[in-house]
Amino acid sequence: MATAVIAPANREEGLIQELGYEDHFHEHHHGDKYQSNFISHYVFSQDHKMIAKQFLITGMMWAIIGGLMSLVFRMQLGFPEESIAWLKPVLGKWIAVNSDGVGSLVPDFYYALVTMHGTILVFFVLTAGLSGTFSNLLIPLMIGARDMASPMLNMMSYWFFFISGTIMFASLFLSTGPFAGGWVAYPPLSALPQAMDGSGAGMTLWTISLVFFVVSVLLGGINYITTVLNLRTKGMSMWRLPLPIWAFFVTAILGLLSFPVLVSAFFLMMLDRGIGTSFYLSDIYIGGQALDHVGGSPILYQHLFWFLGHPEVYIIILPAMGIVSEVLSVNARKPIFGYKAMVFSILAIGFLSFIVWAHHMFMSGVNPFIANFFVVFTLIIAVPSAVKVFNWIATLYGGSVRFNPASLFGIGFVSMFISGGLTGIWLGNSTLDIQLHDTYFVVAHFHIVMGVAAFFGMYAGVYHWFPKMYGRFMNETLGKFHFWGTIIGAYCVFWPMHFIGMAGVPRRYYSFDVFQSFSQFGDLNKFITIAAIITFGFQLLFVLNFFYSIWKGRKMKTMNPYNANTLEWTTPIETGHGNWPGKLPAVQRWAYDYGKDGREFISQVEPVGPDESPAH
Amino acid sequence: MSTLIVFICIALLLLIVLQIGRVRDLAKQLRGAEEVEARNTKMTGYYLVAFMVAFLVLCTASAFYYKNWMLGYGPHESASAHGGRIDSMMNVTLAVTYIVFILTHILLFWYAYKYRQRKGGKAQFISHNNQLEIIWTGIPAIVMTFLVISGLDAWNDIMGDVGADDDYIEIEATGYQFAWQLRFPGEDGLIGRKDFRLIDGTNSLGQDWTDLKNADDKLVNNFKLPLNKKIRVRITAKDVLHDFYLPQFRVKMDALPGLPTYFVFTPTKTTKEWRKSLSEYEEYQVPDPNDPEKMLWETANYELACAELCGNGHYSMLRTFEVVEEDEYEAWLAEQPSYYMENIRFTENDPNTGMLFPAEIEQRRQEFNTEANTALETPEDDDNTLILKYVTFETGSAQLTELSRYQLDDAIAFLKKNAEVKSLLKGHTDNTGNAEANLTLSDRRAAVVLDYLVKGGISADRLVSSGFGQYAPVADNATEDGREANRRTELYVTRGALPVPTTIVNTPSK
Repeated sequence: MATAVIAPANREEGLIQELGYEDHFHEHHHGDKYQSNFISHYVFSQDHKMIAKQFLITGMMWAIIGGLMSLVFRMQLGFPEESIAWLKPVLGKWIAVNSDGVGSLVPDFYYALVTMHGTILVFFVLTAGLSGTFSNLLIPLMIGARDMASPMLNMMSYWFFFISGTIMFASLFLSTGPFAGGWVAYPPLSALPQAMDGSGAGMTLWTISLVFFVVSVLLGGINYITTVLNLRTKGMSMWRLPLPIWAFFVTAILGLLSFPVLVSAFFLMMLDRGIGTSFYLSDIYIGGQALDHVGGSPILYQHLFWFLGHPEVYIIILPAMGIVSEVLSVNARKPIFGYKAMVFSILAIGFLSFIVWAHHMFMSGVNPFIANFFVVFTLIIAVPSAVKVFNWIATLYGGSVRFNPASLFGIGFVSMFISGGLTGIWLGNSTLDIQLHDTYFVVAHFHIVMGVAAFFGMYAGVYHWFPKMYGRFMNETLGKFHFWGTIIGAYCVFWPMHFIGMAGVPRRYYSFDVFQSFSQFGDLNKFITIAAIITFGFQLLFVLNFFYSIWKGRKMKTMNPYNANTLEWTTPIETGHGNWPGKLPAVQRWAYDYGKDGREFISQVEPVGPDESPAH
Repeated sequence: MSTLIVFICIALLLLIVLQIGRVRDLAKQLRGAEEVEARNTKMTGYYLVAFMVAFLVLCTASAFYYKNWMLGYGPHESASAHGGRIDSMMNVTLAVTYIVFILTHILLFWYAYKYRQRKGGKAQFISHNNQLEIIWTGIPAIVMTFLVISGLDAWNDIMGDVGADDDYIEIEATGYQFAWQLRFPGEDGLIGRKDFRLIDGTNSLGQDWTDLKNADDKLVNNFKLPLNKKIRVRITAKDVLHDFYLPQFRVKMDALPGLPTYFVFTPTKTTKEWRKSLSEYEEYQVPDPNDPEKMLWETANYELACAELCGNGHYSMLRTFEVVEEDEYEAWLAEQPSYYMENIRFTENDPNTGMLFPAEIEQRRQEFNTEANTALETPEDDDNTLILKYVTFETGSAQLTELSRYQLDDAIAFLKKNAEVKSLLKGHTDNTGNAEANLTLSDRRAAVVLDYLVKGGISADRLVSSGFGQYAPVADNATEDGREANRRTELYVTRGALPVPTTIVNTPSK
């Protein structure tokens, strides 16, 4: 069957027809396997674009659940005297109403909410929802591949994530409550059901859920790596990859190397819980009984956990960095400044992220001497991070910056990354960590640098590639409202926490009244809670905009609405299976020839002209 | 119902915003996209700059406003010797990061504004500049090196353990769900061994009573610490992880079951001085919500908190403590009873009944001397008897128990000191067994005691012994306590002539 000759819709499509790579993809019949009925199109889809949407929408659902949880416990913290008895229809016995009719959260459930909020946001939203969505959507489209190397594994990756989420969701309804020992799940608290209600069945489900989640990450990750290494189209050398792809690639490697360690930590935990081994437990007297466990070390778990845990924060932030690099470059109409420096800093951050884990453990009882190494490596990470910030700023310099929700969130991302990254220099210094460890300062730091910043990266990506996903644009005015509400709101929520933390107030406190030292921030806590509620409201605006625009948004009329160089904009508006209707594009240049030789943009498929000034 | 209304309001609000968004986007299409776009771009540029200015000003102003809450400022000056280094390190870091924070934010938002899209405006093609990359790799690297070196210098000093010649006090803090148990050493200055398997109702820490270092250890809840004295806290946990956290002292360290950790620090500010310095700040010149009679600074106390999630009562592990002058501390410590002596000594849980502590020997000696002198000075001859209550025999034999010699030695010393005193030793038994045999046994026991005294250097002509068997009980033989009281050796002392020992054989007492 010969490829049908279609009249090119634009210059790029013409170039693909002329110079593209014929892989005879469309001569094979794929129709039955892919997208031929509702189930295989929308549910058990093997198409990377549909899987990306599944990850995104599932992630959004989880973000709403996790966000609402934070509002409930923020209300308890900000307004401990106000009654939340009106939540009783939803939360039932987890609201205790005292004799004055004032309903407040039961401490056990407060800790359950804090734990679930952390777990959900870190794993389900910022790992699956961010990396899962954009790696799936962009890797094949940007490198010029028909799909992932293994669409089947890709589909399984989503469905393992779905199973994981289902189990976690089910744990919310246990009579003893979901797991409540903090998202890091340090033993012995997490290992002993008698230590806390949530450490019973809640912890069992939590562990099983996360094991499924790791399977999902590994299936996805191995696919991303293979796809980037093997399925790049003709001419797409590694040094021509757009930056998001570099970021997703390194992210996948980090996940592949670190998540198995987490699973091994969980397996040891299961053995300790189930059959009485003593990997993490020793010398414990609890519930009126001395336990038989002897010889284990709770610090072993912390090492294993943070060996994942630290790369995990880069698993979250690297995709956001990649997305922002692309969005800023496209909207500044300028090449990303220092492409190679950006790639090397991604690689440096990826490498260093594996040798800094113990900076979470300076005060854990490890030998203080160990801190010497980890402080050095931790503060070194500031160098590639600073390089990236300077490069983003330099990308704006001399540009012609378009302000749309995507680029605004990109700028906001850089601001958040600076604000949160700089406090990392405080916490990475073990001397300061003596006082700041486990206080609200830490809460402020990581929420800004990996929570809010990663969300900003995700929003930039969603606004930017929404047309590629749904063939329509999101509403720009609402997007701008969303941006301003979010950046102002997020700073209002997290900035004051720095002061509370410097005053020494510990995190994970259900009430601050017991201690005189910690009880003097009632007003700030009220302010934070109100800001959090308003900020959450602005996120609903995004959700509304998202779903409204899927069906009612302004239609995309041209293939390349942003005049961007990368390959995803050379695919048809209705991108079918296989992404390109005819030949695969052949790549002739890097992704960032914006404003070169007076031309606004030069697509990657355009050959280098004879008179063109030398390559970058 | 009101909940429903609130939800409807939120939904309506969202709908209104959505409509505004739609209308604006439609208007843009109608009025000429480019013109509207240009105006929007300009406005957004202004907003960005306005945001940047407001943000930086508010950040700086709020830091000034909350200055008193930050490390090392105002009332939050450190109360420990090492804390000052942490605070100054923080200030250096604050200065460095603040400069970077301000500069990068100005550049970020200013460039976004300045290089916004304009009609006919074109972006410059600047792809990279290796020199710049080297500069902005190098400068952060140098700054980081400086921070790393000064940070680690402080860290290794602060976290170092006590040296061999250091003068320090070692105390122990044990976290459990949900409180702290403090343990202070007694006169030996040492904390005894403990083992979690020994924990029970009478032994909350699992102290090993065979380790005599435990004998004088004091268990306290709210405590005092001496000023300017190095304190080494041994930090442990009973059940799950806890964290020993003294916010005012810059002290924080996890407490782990089975893996003791430590933190060494020196308090440098007494509670009194601290309260006085707090009284200068407005935020402390308000009534204490828990004690409205007093100002907040008057009731301020140093606090011990938990800083590692340990369960549903994590937020409530409060202990308060005072820092006082050393002599006040010594006086306070001396008042605290030894847990072992108060609650364990000579109970069934005491493994050390076979020995006496020097303090006990001394105490018994004084007790004996007092009783003996009283007996001696009593005019009525009949009352000149005292019971040698610590002189005991192995069951059914005339073999003195190990601990008896202490009181007998006291008796020897007493008789030597009072050379004119003569003494009659009387043996008694309870009514268990054969009365005849008991009489013989008591006779032999009295003779053994006499023998001991003679060997101790008391002339035999000053002493007489006699057995009374079960015939002179002082308590009811029906109870174990009564029988124990009846099994006794008595010492009759007199300055006059000794009575001729009467044989009471076959003369029942009633």
